[in-house]
Amino acid sequence: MASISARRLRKELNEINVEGCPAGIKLLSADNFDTWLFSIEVLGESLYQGEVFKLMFRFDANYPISAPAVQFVVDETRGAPIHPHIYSNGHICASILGTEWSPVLSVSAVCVTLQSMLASCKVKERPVDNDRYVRTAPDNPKKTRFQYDGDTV
Amino acid sequence: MPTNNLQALLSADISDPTDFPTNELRQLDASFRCTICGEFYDAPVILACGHCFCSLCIREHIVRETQCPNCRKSTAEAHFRLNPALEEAVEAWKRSRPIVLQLSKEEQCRIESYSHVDTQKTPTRTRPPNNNNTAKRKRRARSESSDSEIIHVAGPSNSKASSEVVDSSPAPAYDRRPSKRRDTEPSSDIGEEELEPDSLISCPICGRLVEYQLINGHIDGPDCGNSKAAPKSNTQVPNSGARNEWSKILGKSSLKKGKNKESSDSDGIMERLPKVSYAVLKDKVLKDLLLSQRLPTTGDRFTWIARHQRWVMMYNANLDKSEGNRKGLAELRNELKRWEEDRKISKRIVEDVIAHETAYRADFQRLVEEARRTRATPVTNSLPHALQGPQDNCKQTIVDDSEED
Repeated sequence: MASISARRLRKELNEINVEGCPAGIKLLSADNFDTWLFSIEVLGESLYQGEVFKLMFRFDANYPISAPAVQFVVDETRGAPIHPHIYSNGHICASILGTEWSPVLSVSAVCVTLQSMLASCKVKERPVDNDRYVRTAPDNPKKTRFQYDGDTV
Repeated sequence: MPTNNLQALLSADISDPTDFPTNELRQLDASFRCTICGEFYDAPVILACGHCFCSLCIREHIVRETQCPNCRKSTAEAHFRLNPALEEAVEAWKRSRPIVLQLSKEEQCRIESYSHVDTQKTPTRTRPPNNNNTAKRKRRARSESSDSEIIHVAGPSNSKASSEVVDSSPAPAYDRRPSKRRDTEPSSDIGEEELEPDSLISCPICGRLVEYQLINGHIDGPDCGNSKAAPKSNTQVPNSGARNEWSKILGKSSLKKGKNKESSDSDGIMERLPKVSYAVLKDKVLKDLLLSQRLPTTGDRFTWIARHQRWVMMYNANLDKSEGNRKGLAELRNELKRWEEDRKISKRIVEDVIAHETAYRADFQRLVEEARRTRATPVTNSLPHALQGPQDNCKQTIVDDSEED
């Protein structure tokens, strides 16, 4: 019997393969049940028109009871979106990835939330403490204890 | 489409709603599934807010957070209520699912070949606009006559279509010989919507497959009641090797509080196990606790706690099933063992040190670099937005990925 997390991810993958991702989101790779990659762009009017970002999900054995580690991939070709809640190393300060995570959420639900977080952005700027955070940030964003601001994320 | 061996392995036996070709059936299938694990409800319980989950899933969840995963209303174990009606519905659906799946697939195939074959025969017929209407029309056509004109009748309502099926209960079904209809219906789908006298259906009481024409006799007869337990014998796993191993471990240890003497394995377990505050227990007491449940005492204190915690969860979740569906203690212990093995596998990754080192050399170097830089320029910024002190984060970077629960 495969572990619960693998079974659940298998089901999510099936759904993505059969029914497709939400608009603007594409599955780039899901070769195992540890790391999945998506491309994400905001459709319609937004500050991020024409920009495509790469999103990385990492799952542990307790998924979906524990949240996946989600971050934007920063490499030679792509950077993280410039957003008040997204650090330049790709880490995201979003409550549903931390304390507000719920096991009924899914990979595509997270993608849609992040998409709308980008879509509703009014000012393109980095978080105020970006430099300090990036300098000391752990590899896995789940090890950071973010403080979520009141504004909509 | 991305695939690998693991996936190929898993896709073989993992069912999910997308197995069905139509949205309606997918929704039906999904409604019998727990939104946490995506499996069919196993010992479903309702929370105070009305949301429903597998007992084990929600128990795992509330260890971390005492909220309903759906609506975030606060909840507690005391709020759980059993849901035997849903449990029964799930069992019934599990039994009929393969049949429905097969039928829907055949139907799909037929629809695909439908326009192809039929346009040749009756060229006036237009291509059906969507699957559902086709099914209804077809059914109508069958039960009323073989006149192909009937097929053109626009949209018979759902209720009408279903009432026709009800009307054609056993007696009339007898009259219409399959052979006759085979002649009139060119497509190869005899008996899909309508039951033939000799087609197999599952008995609503015992779940056994019985010929349609014999079903009434079967329900009344002694066959049905007697076999009640037969199809449910899914509790025995032929994994006796593993069990022996464990019982070997168990055999050595004396039973101090042998409350659960495991007489006939499935009955005799009625009382829920209380939660334990492990932090206040000494090792010896903890060990006794495990022994009293006839659990192995291998590993360290951390393993013991995890093991006992999981055991209490599984044990209590098992009691949330209706009595007939409960698993025996031996099987529960087996599951506990498998759970521990699963966790071990996910942790073992780091054992091959050299490979690990080479694989992550770049990362290590980067981290070392960063750590040096941090020391060179002590942080002076205030922290308006995020996180605790930077030192903590550095430490956490080194912490192994093992999950803590």
